[in-house]
Amino acid sequence: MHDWNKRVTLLFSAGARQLKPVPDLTLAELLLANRLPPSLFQAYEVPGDGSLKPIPMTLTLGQVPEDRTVLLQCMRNTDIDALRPADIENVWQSDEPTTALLDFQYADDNRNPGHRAHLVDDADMREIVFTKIANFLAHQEIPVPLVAGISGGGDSSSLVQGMDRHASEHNLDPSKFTCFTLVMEPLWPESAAQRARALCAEVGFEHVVLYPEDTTTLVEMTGSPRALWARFEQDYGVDSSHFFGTFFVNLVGRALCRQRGAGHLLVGYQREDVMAELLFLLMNGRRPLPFPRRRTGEVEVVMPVWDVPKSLLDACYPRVSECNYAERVDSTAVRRSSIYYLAHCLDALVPQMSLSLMNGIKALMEETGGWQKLSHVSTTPLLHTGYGDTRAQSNLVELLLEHFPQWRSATARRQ
Amino acid sequence: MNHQLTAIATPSAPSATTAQMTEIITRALPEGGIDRMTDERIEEILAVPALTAHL
Repeated sequence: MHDWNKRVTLLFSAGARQLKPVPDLTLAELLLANRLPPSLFQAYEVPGDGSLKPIPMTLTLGQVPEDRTVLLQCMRNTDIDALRPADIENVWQSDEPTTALLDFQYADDNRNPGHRAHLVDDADMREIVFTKIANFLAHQEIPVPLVAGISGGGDSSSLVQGMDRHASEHNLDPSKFTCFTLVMEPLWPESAAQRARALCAEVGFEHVVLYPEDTTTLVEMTGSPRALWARFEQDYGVDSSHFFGTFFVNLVGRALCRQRGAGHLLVGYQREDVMAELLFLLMNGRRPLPFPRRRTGEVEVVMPVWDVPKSLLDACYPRVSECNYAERVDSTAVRRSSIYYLAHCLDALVPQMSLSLMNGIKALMEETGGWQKLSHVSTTPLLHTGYGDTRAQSNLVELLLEHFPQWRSATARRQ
Repeated sequence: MNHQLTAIATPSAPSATTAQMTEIITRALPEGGIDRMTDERIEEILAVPALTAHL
């Protein structure tokens, strides 16, 4: 098949895009398709007279004269038989699999790599993820009461079920689990809250839906979060919605924790979320922020699915995920979007790359006390790392203080 | 399509349990054998040469 676009649609929140047709694939892209990094190779045109002519890896085969072959020379003494990255054995764990759980094993002493793709269905995947979340909560000894921010998407649905399993396994009172969902069209749609409500009802957890007026009361704003969003949109553009949302989830979550006497706020940040942040911090010479537990004010943010790839979380509830993708607001913070792309790239050839880096960095930070510490901004519950432009930061804090005037009092930071 | 990439569908491998598959998600490269560069008897003392010996 030379034009797979007749059968494959590549879909983004901004609409459909085309895949490169086969003839347009470069030599580098052919290597990538074989799970080989192009930077490990030099491409040569082979005229057939005993000579070799180096050529760029960005050429397509069509750009090489037809009477010449191409040599892709590995530049290191890579033991390909000990790696065999494209030899993947499919292991059917289900008759109707919906996702592949990659299990790659490189380079043992016998030069006997074994790469498997376990083909599992959504029920299998739910069982795996729920078990994992329950194990995490038990291992980390997270006490009740606790609060969880859930969007109604795949990640948070799993979070609810994992908490339920943990509650059942340890005879915990379900009323000690509070979940919340923010609603403010079009940023946070009502439909997602309905899904979240149904999930919580199923397991007997309290579910708090916060409409703008509820949020105003809970976090003691002077006006509606709508008014604050309007200011944000006007001053910082529509792309700030991503950051506005995360900011509010943390603020509301901490306020609910205070109300319920909870010390822990569970969130659905998954592997690539944590990796994107870590990658950004490290490449800019900053200390990593702690994971999978992070203190924000009086509350510890807990990330039970920090090491689970997004694709596997979404595979737990394929229909919910599908709705979630369709409801995504077509706005992307350009830089944020790029860093997420980079984080996903890390695992593209070697599926355990990001987790391995995260484990290593986590161990190193714990051993050296190297984690970034967050400090309060003046009397407010806002937290910062100390980086950033002081003037820009002051402007933003002043804007927020207009909507949260009580933050000027010394007790506000207890949030 | 590249036929090397077409994974081999086989029923020969045993079905994994939930516990085994949960472990697969959390297994990082060091646990899969990338915890040293060379023979562990020389790894520490010859650490720097071990890093470059393959070049």
